[in-house]
Amino acid sequence: MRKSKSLHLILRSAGWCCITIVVLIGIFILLKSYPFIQQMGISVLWQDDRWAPTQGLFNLVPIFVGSILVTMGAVLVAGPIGVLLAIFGQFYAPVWVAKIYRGLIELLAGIPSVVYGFWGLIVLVPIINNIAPPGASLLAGVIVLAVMILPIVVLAADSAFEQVPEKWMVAADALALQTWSKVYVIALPHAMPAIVSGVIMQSARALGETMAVLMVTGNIVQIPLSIFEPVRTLTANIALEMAYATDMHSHALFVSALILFMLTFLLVYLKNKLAGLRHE
Amino acid sequence: MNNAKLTEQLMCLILWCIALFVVVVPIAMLYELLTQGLSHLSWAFLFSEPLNSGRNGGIAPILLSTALILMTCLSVVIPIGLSCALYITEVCDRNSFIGKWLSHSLDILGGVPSIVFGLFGYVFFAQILSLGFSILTGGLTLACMALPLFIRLCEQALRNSPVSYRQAAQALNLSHSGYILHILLPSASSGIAAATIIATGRALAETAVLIFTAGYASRYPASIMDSGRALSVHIYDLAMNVAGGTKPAAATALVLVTLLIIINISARYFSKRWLPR
Amino acid sequence: MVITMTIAMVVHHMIKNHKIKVAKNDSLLQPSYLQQNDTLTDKNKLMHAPAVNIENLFVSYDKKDAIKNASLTANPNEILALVGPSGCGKTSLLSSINRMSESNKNCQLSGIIKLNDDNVLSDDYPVELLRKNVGMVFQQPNPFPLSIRDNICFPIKDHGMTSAKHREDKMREVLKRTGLWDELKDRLDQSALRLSGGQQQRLCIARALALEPKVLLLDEPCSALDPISTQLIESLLLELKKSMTLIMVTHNLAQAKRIADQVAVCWVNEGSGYIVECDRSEKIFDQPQSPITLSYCMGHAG
Repeated sequence: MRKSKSLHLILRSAGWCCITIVVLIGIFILLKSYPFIQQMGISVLWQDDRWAPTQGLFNLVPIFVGSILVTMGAVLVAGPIGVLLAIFGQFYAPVWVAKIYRGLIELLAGIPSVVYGFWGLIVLVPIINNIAPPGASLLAGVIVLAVMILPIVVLAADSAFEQVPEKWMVAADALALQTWSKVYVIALPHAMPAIVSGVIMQSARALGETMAVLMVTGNIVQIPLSIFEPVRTLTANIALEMAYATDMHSHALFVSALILFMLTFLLVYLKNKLAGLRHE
Repeated sequence: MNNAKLTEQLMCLILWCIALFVVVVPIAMLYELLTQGLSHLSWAFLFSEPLNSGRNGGIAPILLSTALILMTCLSVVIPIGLSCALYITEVCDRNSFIGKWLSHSLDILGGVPSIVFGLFGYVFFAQILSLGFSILTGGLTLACMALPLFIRLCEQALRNSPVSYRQAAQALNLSHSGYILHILLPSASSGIAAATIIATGRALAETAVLIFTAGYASRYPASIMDSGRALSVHIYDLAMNVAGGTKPAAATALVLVTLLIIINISARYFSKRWLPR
Repeated sequence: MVITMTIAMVVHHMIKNHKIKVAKNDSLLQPSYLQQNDTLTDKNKLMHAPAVNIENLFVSYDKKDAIKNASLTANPNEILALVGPSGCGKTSLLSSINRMSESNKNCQLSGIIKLNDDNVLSDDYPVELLRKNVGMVFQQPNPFPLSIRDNICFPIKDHGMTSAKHREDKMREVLKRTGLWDELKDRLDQSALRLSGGQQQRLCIARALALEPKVLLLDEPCSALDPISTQLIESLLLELKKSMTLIMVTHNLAQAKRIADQVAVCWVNEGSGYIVECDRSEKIFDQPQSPITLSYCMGHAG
């Protein structure tokens, strides 16, 4: 086809625009975190007494641990349940049930985190409060996040199972194998890489989630000794303190944003590496 | 007896239990929202201003702000996103410098946590570009967030266009812009529409970003340079900062969820139109 | 309140599930495995090659008829070949015999298919038992993505053979029967997907034989294979018919002539298949009754 120079120029600039945005984000985060790293160094992040920025203390470890615990908990809950649900939809449910189920899951995937957080706040927290006050806790955060990432884990696992070659399932049927056997021995190993990839992406999302955890985890800076104790995550920390943070405090928050950014980047890189391995 | 058979019976039971349990959770959520919020909902709710920090009155200005933020966002996302998608599928060489960088950039952009976007929007649009807390800031930041998803979906829609169209265009020595504008885009239009709708749904769900960029003002925005509160932010505010705000928050949540359901259904409708091709 | 609702639904479903399982699964009602012998014998399992009688079989998908009013008989210890052009319902007919056609939700079956005197299409005949009596081999070899050993041992373990030693013995037995033992005995733990097409297909036959079926259905088993593998499999089939009844769909008339005892010729009429003629193989090729058979066998049509 005849090249259209002007159109190509426009399109190329759109491409550059996207690249610019990413670069800008990177630059700004770095610029804003740099003063902290330069002046205070990074070891204060784990050596200081506690997180009390107004007093110049910047120990991020409890908050970091909070983020990791909530994310890991959510993934440990939503991962297996999501895979089991996908197995249910693909292999065990009658066709009409599977259709309704899928519709439901797709709907749930679109619900905003605020609504999940809101539900957690008015339903979950009081229930947990009855078991072990204060209610707003690590457990609440894990449950709400798990419910949030569950739909997409199910969808990812579902499409992974669809990729399993039909001929193996047909052979299994001709041999009258038990359904669970054919799932566990044949379908699951084949679908596993794609499932893991989906789970990693969702854990990146859980890590970056702000509103839902903000609303239900209690936001107390501490390393929790039980799942019923409140925690604060990196994301919630930024959201809460940014508005009134000044100077070094604000830079410290940008450092925590940088940490989040790097963690997410690491997860995405991991996922791509796994996908690359699979194709060999 | 047979181990495999026993395992099968057990797993069957477990799976059905889990499936039923998981159905219960959204029903419980919906039930809770309905009991708390239904009483608060009314036509007046949709059309009047919030009073008493939102405990009474309605959400009209908030609906307006949300709509404005969305429009700002889409008016940036659609041109840039579509152009970028076209660039990827039609022009760019995958292995060139820009090709690789673009795909990496979009990957990274898609993985950035929303709060980081919020900060970026705050620093870049609000402070450096002096746009302050405004609908414009919010819309632009949301656009950055929605771009990766939109571009990926548009890319899919464009790639699904029949190869035969391209072959015919090449045989007739049409101009590339002619092919794109008159043949490719129309044939991918429902896919692009679906992408737009899905991106909108994503944008509507965002809260953290908007708190830092569009602000909290719950009055009617004077212009897009004015601060405005989106639906999701309103829910957050009522739930966390306003005592007794649970009922109006639930009502607002119902409105938001209904909007999203409508969006989901229309996205499904548009997707079905291009999938069978 | 929500919790009680959940529990009620769960209990209700447990009961429903259990009932279905019990009805469909013969093995739950009667002890199906003689544990002392730890073999796959089942008190309802066939011990000798049966006659397969198909009477007035109609198979349709989505209201479109695949095959109409098919009636034929496969005699014990013989090979019946189903021949005919594409689209005349041969595969639909074949897959109805072990009720694999039911995997497609739109499939409608009517008629009678009897193994000796039992109608396998009736609701009383458990599908699991049917598939133990009737094995199937497909056109494209489809070994599982497991080791060669596991391809055989996994299905028999699934069916209840608990002793690993017995499984090994069974595996050796079927690999020897299909002529694979000497070729593969040193690499049983390698992935089955690495075998050649012919080897994979013989492995699939071995896998089917491991369940000790007395009827074997083969859907164009050699069409994806080279002539040497084809020859190996054909001589295997001739060997197998001594202990079972074989029904084979084939496109290859020469093959039918070589190994079939009976041949059923299928044709298409107005979009759906039917059986033109079914007779001893010599009669079909030398003195066909129907002109369609004649022209098909002469290569003038189809």
